[in-house]
Amino acid sequence: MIIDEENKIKVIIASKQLLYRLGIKTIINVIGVDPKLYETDSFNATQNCMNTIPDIDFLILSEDIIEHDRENLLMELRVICPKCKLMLINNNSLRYTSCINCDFCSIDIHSSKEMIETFQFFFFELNSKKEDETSLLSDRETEILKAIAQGYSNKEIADNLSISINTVITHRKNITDKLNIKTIPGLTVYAIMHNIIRFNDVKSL
Amino acid sequence: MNNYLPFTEKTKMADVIHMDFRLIPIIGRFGIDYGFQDKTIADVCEEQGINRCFFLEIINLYHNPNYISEKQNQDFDCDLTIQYMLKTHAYYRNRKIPEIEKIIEEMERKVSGKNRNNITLLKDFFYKYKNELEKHLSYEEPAIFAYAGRLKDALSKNIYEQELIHKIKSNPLEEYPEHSNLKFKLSDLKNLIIRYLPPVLCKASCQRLLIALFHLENDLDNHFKIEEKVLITQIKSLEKKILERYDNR
Repeated sequence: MIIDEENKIKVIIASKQLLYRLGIKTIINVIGVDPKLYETDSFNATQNCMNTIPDIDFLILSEDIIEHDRENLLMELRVICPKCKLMLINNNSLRYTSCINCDFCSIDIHSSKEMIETFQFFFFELNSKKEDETSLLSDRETEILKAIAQGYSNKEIADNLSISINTVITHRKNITDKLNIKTIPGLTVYAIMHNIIRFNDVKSL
Repeated sequence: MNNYLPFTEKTKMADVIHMDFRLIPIIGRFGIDYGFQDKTIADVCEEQGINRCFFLEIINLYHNPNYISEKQNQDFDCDLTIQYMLKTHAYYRNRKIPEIEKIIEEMERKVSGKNRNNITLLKDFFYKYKNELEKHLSYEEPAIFAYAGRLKDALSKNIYEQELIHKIKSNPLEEYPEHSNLKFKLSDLKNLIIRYLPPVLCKASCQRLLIALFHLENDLDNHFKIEEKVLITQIKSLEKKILERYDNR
């Protein structure tokens, strides 16, 4: 996994029970993940944590902190961080999603081997899938979308990237077709929503 | 009744609404009240003093995007078209646009965290769209509607000012100003919500917003179609008539 402290994956372990949290930490350690860990012991603390720390990658949640009104509480977490992967643990099963909005895939755990495999799957397997889903555009297209959103003309984009105007136009057409968004303000909103540019970098929509 | 057949003067008024409930605000613009019983379009139009050809033209254009109007159906005064257009302008300004703004503001209050920025973005986007639409509406009121009025006035008084003749000869109304940008922006806004907005807690507001946007889009499409297919033809024929009379003086 990535070593740089800044780029470490961020994991929240949320459970009332200290023993649960310790156990999960051990498993994460065993499968060789070295994340930045946050521990919480109530729903509110989890929510606060997700609000203060942006882009949590994984949330491992024991059902003891969402006993009442489970669906709504989960929904609230989804809203804060839609891309976060979620694992729900109760006494006899593990359930996890590839992103917090997807349907659950449920696993009954009969042995410690199965348990570790499930964790491995949760942390590694689905990672690549997640990237596919979020990148509708190629790297080049993302670069061009960024320039469009910053208000550069076709000519300027072509000069900056040392490609021909026709290539820029082809890329633009592909971007528009893939995203189903035609106007520059529309593309700009898309770019901000997907963290391709920051709101402050935009002069006007 | 076959859904693809145009409405005729013999169609029952109640059937019109059953067939296409999107026509409710359109019919409302004509000031028509309900309680139709078994009356036909012809009956209702006569009772309420509405030009039948015009009414049929408007509802058919709205109901079927591929409707092709026949020449004899367009035998009505362009004043009617313009009055109707002004009423739809008022409908956008006073009803539809404020309704959409209100829903977006409501959503902005209800969402939390990162998604609030997304809603703010949509709000800014719609605000810009609204300004562009307003610019378009307030352009066509003097440039097109008032121009048509001048043409009619000249014909009825039989007085043809040099300046008007010059304008018709040098700069006749060829095509309507471009509508596609307004159309694309509205469709982008819908797609940003449908395809890309992360889930929000206020689902009911979000659904209402989408439905309102679809309504507005539908209505504007129809509005633009009437401009392009009906009003332009009427103005061109007025221009032609004036030039003929002027030359034959």
